[in-house]
Parts: sequence; C-alpha cells; structure tokens
Amino acid sequence: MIVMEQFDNPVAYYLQILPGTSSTTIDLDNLSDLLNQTDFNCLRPPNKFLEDTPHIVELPPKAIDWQRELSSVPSEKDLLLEHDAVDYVIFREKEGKVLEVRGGPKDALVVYATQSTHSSLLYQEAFLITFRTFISALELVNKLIKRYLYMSFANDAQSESIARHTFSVIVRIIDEVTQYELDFDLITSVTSFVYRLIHDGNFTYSRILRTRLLDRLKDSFDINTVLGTNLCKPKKPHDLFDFKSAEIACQLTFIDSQLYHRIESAELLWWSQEQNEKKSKNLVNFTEQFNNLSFWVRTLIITQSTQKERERHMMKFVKIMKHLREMCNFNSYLAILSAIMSTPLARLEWSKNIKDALKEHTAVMDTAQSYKNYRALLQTAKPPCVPYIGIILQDLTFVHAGNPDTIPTDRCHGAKNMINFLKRWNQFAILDSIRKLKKWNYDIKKNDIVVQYFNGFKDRVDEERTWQLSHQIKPSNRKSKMQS
Amino acid sequence: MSNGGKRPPEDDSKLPYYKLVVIGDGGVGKSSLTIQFFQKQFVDYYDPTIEDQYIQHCEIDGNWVIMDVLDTAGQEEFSAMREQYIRGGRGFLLVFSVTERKSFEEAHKLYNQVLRVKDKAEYPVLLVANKVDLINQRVVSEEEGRELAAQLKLMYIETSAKEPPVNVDAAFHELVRIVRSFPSDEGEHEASMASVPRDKKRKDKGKCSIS
Repeated sequence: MIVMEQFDNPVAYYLQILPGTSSTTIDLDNLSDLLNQTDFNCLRPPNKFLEDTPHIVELPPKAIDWQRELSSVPSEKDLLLEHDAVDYVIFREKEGKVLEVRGGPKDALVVYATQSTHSSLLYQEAFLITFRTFISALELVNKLIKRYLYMSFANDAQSESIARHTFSVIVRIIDEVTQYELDFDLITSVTSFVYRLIHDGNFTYSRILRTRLLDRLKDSFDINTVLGTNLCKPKKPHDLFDFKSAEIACQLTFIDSQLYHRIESAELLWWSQEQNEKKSKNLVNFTEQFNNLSFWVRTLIITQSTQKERERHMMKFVKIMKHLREMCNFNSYLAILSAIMSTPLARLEWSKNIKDALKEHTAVMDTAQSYKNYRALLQTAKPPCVPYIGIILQDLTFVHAGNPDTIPTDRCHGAKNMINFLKRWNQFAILDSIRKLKKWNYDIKKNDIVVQYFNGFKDRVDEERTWQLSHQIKPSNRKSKMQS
Repeated sequence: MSNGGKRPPEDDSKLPYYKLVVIGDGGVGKSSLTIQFFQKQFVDYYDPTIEDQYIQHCEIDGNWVIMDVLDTAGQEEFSAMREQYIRGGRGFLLVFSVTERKSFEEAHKLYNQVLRVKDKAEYPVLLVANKVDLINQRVVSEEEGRELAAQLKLMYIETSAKEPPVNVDAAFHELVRIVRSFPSDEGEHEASMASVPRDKKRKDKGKCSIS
C-alpha cells in the first residue's frame, strides 16, 4: 500500500545517472553522532586563510549567450578554480581527530561540496539543503558553472572528475529549485550554460540539464486540483454522517500529503528568517489548510442547536482523529485536536464518554519539555507520515536566532566572514528528519464526493462568532467590562 | 544582576513554579529575547529540542522561583494552535516590535485573546516594546507604547536583545513580580504545580538572581 517515490535524491543518485560514475551510498545516521558532541569550541583553524571579500558582482547576461567566456585571469586567488579547498575550510577537532566542517569562506564551502575527494556525502547533503542561508541559488549556480567550465577544459583525470561532480550538483540544485528562485536571471544563466554544453559537443549533459530545467518550469501547482472537484452540486447536500470516519480521515490525508509534498526545505528555512508569503507559498498553503480545518471543525460542532447534536459531532471527530493518528497524519490530527480543545468548545459541558475518549489525545499537545510527547510520537511513527510543521518552524526559528551566521572573528584568528557551518548542520538535522518522511507517499485515491463535501473548508464561522456562540450556550464568568 | 555565588535551595520542589508564555506577532524578536534570557546556558550553540532548556531558577527580591518559559516563535501562522499555548500560561510577555506597526496593533488583539481564554477581566501581562536598538527604523514611539499599556492597564518595558542587551532580564523578572502580585485561583496554581517535571534537579545551570 506504500509507494516509495524518488524524492530528494542524494548527490550520489545524480552521480549514478551521469555516465562514467560509480554509485555510493550515504549514511545520514552519522548526523546525530555529529551533533551529539558538545565540544563545539574545538576548532581546527584552516591551514591557509582567505577572507571572504566580496567579489565584483558579475552582471548576469541580458540574453542567452553561449559565447560568454570565462572572465579573464583572476587578479586574486579564486578558490573556484582550485581542485581542493580543504586547506581553507575550518574543521571541528576532537582529541586531535578532525571531524566535519565547522565553517569557512563561502567559496571554500562551495568548492568543498563539489570536489571529488576528501569531502563527505553528508557534508554535500547539508550544503545542498542549507546553502540558501548564505548564498542565493543564482549566485551559486553561476559559481558552479564557472567551476565546471574551467575544470572541463583541463585534460587530467582529477579535473574531469571534479567537473562531473560539479555538474551533478548543478543538476541537483535545478531539480530542487523553488518557483520563487526560477526568475529570468537564473533561467538565462542555466540556458546559456546548456547552449555552451551543446557548443562544446557535450550533448548528454546539455540534454539532462535542459530536461530538468523544463520539468521545473512546467511544474506549476493549482490548489484546486487538490481541494476542488468537477462534480455537480448534489441534489441533497451531504452531511458529516454520510461518510465513514475512516474515509474522511483518508481524504484529509490525501489533501495534506499533496500539500506537504510541495513544500521545499528552502521555504522552511526562509520562513524562519523572514516571514515572506511570496517566498514560502507552499508552506503558506499548508498552514492555511491546518487553520481552515480547525475552524471548520469548531464551526460544525458549535453551530449545532442542541447539546445532543454537538456531542454527536464531537464524537465523530474524535473517531476521525483516531484514524488520523493511526495513519500518522499529525497535521490534520492536531488541527482537529486544537479545535476540540479550543476554549470556546472546551469550556462547555461534555459527557463523560467524550471526556474519556479525549484523554489519550490531550497529552499529545502538551508543550512541556519542548513537546516531549509529540516528538516521541513522531519518532515512533511509521512512514508514510505528515508531521505538524509548526514545531519544525519553531525549531528553525530558534536555531536561526540562537546561532551567529559567521564564526566570531576572535575564534578564527581575526578572519572575517567565515560562515558558521555548525548552524547549518543544525538546520540540516531538523530538515532532514522531515525530508525523510517525504520519501514515502500514501496510496490514497481522491474521493471527489467527500472532497466536494469539504467544500474547501470554506463553510466556517470566524473566531469571534465561535466565541459568541459559546457564550450564548454558556455565559461567561467575566462579570465586569468586556474588552472591545 | 546575575549572582554566581548564590545557589537555589537544595530541595526545589517547594519553590513557586511559574509558567510564563512569550506571545506576539511573527518577526518581533521573541525568540531572541528568550535566547538572551537563557544565554548563560548556551554560548554559540543552540539546540531547541533539549527538554529542560527553558527552565530557570531565579532569585527575585530575595525569593527563589522556578521559571518555565514557553516561546512558540515561528508558529505564529498556526492561529488555530494559539489558544492552546495561551491556556497553560500564568503570565505573559506580550511582545511587539517598535519597527513594525502591525505587531503593535496585533498586541492589542492578543491581549484580548488572553483575557477571553482565561475568562478574566485582567491578567498578569507585561507589554514589551522590543528592538529599541533600531532607532532609525522605529515607527512606534514610547508615548504610544505607554498609552496602550495604560489603556489596557498593563506595565510597560522597552527592550533590546542585541548586544549589549537592554532590559531583557528585567522584563522576565518584572513579569514574575506581576504574576506574584496577581491574586491566583487556587485550583489553577495547583494545576500548574502538578504538571511540573520533578524528575530533574538542575543545580548546575539555569540560575540567576537579583535582589
């Protein structure tokens, strides 16, 4: 019943699809070991210092131009043209043993992610998931194209291997580029590069890159394909009890998983830094679905005119929640739970039956000890799974606010602008835990009748009205002045 | 302010336990305030999943208390979850950014939501005007801030979490004083005591004191 999808392939996968490369596997379990160590202060300074002085920004070409040559001989040291940047990277060190990357100048980190030796696949993954926190996709792609072209000119085996690695990283970036980043400049850069590859007679690479770029450009998303239907209005409107609880849970999960799979790691990282709805469109869709479902549930319960009907609806949602939990859909599960536990509903009287049925669920939302209960539940969940994404956003927000972007200068012999990659390891660890879940998908067919009944969860009253109805059913304790 | 010589009493099970919640619009710098307040515990590494990260023993006006701070920064858009977080709080830092008028207007709404969830006409809340270091970007003046505080009958404080921090510890400590002076419903107090994780003794970290 479970479908494994080719989501989020490691760089190793890209090396496999390119001719003349061998396959490698990646072991992400090292990550927890890596972050478990507390001696973060032990840095191994780089053998060579290179300050990350801002280079002269090359203006992007105004038109597709395959004849664009490399800029003339660089006046200062250009790391992008080096085989190996290991001497410029700062590592963590423990008892004389060199551990993973701790930081370094921007270009050194870029080169280190694309070199064929010394660098680890784990680092390459972490780099690809988090680079946007210190370099834009456009700037990175331009740097990598420069590196590729330089390496592909050389005739030695090592340069060729580096060129191949660099190319596979470019393909991977294009595969995961967000719609927001796919602007004129990026498309022009990549397309110029494709023409350049054709010009150089490298048809295989040009075809691969062109296909991937077109796939991304065609990849538009209309939320109506998930929340809408083409059905005519039924003669008699459906109600909640026309459908089995399990079927409702399935259809909620269908909607959630469709929206969840659209969210890119980049959107989550951006959100933790600046709440920009344009940049994180898919995330906003997903969040809205959570809120809409919660207020729709509140509405359905509180607008019933009798206590008996309210309890009957409440019980139905408790049953739906049970199914959602079994399906590991924690998004809709918590949305419904937040509705049932919302004060306008929770302050009303409920039968012992309902109170008992709720007992096993209420603890999941306990915020104590950094959501210990919820985190434990998620840990044991078997994929496929839809997580509650609020806690991911909170974790990312705190990692962002709590760690400096660059390593303090007094820690690296006065060198400025050394990217603090430990911060990125932490972001990677948080994102990787949910990326893993994206590898799986539910095998659920859309049921148009149920989705039509949901009506996009638009039939709901606002928070204010929910309170009014609640106070009509049971008057407030607040004797004195009500705040406006 | 901090007094390294003083240690909390050996048996902390009798200490008053205050669950404090930081609320406010997205991007007002809540997480930075919380991190700055707990800074003594993590220097340049921050892991949000550590279970007792936000618990701190504090001596305020000669009495030790345990502060348990909930800050859900990053989750603001999940408006359906907000009540859930408000419900457990005994006191609130209601934060807005002086560089963002919308967050100032949101503060008023959030306060009303607290009162509604608590079903009270007033509640221990401290209005916090954050990011006062950004003088050139300031759009909400101190007078406006104080005016809103007066209108809502709240105390008011201006803070900055940037180095050197301004009033960060003072804001958390002031909130404890406000909570203390607020008549508490017995049941509510008991409830918050019952949910305290008592299995962990934290003597080596998470202490501060002011007198």
